[in-house]
Amino acid sequence: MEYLILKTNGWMDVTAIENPVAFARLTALRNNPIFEGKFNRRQRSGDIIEQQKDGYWTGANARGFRRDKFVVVFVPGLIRDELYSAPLTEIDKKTNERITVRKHEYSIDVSGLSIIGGIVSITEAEFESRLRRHG
Amino acid sequence: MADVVTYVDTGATGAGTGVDWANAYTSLAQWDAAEETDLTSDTDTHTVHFRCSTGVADSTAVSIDGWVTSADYDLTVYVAPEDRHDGTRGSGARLVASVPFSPAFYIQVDFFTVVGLAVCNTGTVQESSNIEVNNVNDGIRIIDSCLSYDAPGDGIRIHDWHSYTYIINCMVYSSGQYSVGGAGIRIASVGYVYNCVVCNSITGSGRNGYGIVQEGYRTVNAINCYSGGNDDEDYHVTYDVLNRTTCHSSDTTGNTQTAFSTSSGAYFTNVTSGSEDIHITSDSDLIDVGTDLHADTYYPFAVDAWDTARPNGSWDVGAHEFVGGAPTINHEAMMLGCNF
Repeated sequence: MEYLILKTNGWMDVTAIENPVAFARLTALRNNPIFEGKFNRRQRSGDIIEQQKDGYWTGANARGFRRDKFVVVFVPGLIRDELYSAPLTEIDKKTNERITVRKHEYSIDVSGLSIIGGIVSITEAEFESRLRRHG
Repeated sequence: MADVVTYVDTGATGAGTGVDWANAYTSLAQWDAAEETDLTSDTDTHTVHFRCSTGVADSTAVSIDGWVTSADYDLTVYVAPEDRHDGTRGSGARLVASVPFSPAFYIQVDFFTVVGLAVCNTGTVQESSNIEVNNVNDGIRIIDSCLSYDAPGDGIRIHDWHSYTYIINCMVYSSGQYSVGGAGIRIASVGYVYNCVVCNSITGSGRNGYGIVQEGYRTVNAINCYSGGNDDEDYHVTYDVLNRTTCHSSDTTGNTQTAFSTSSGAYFTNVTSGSEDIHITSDSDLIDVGTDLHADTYYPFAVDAWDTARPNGSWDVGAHEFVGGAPTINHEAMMLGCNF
């Protein structure tokens, strides 16, 4: 299986040092409780954005992807598991409706991997050790 | 201010940067993750063009959430008429995805438009709708010329009583596939449901197979819709008001009762669950009996789901305007379509 992993944080993770104006606006937006839920569901580095079969991003007819945004983690032999790219959800106690509390329940820690040309191949065991479940 | 335009094509083999068709992103999820931004702060609008040039569906569910939009700086997912579904399963630009406990196409953005997208959630969990809107402040969401089929739960589900939703020229088939059941269109916001066809919704152990359901404490206005062949009421009011104007149904809940059939009444092309085609044929009782909406106060438009012009004063009911032949594309009429 091949996994497209977000390698950068999104715009909501801007810091005051990086961009004071953007940070001030973000702070103001977060005063709205509805936006705070959006903030909690923001894109985060390590999120598993997409899963595709072997060779999709690495084979002879490989598809392109933005190297500045993503890393492709190739794990030969694994099969697709929808949970890996699914959101983290829970039942809202007030409405009894299922709500999304985090955009992706799972992430992959790609730190320290030898990534060449935006792609890295790891074993199933290494994948399991780097898989993070949130919530 | 800029009008940012990006591209998604499941058949693209270029660089995947989204800058043009050749180098398009290959999924909507990939586009969303790469492009998500605060459009209001950027003072940009953003339109992503979507197609499946090699016929392969986008197989990754997408939750469009982290964008900040406003009335002036909005977000649009657009499928051109030539790349659009033809009103049947497996055609055109489509998202066919399975994701546990979540919709296949999840809109959590205030000012958002989607045009021409076909969506099927292949998941087997009751909460899984095909197209869902939730978690927005105020805002306007437009779902135009979209096709929903075989949803596990509801076909199109709209939460958020404090916002406005326009559902125009849409087709919703066989919702409620999971054992709990589901409605075709379930809407809790202020809603305008114009020229839609909803059929074959299934009642399950927990939900009624309604056609169009007004659910919240807001008014829904349905005009020129056809709802039929559903397990439960074709139009159903839960709390507030569901105004119906020149709406047809196979039961008695519409303004006019019209058979859901290929040989009488609506004269659709195919009414069998699993292979619906709501193009009407020349004998249809839905021809020229609709309300002319080209000057509608809330959502003026003048085309059908494939941008065929609807003639002044003689509109058909449903998503297809019968013109006596194969659907044609009228780009001039298309420009009359409203895009808030």
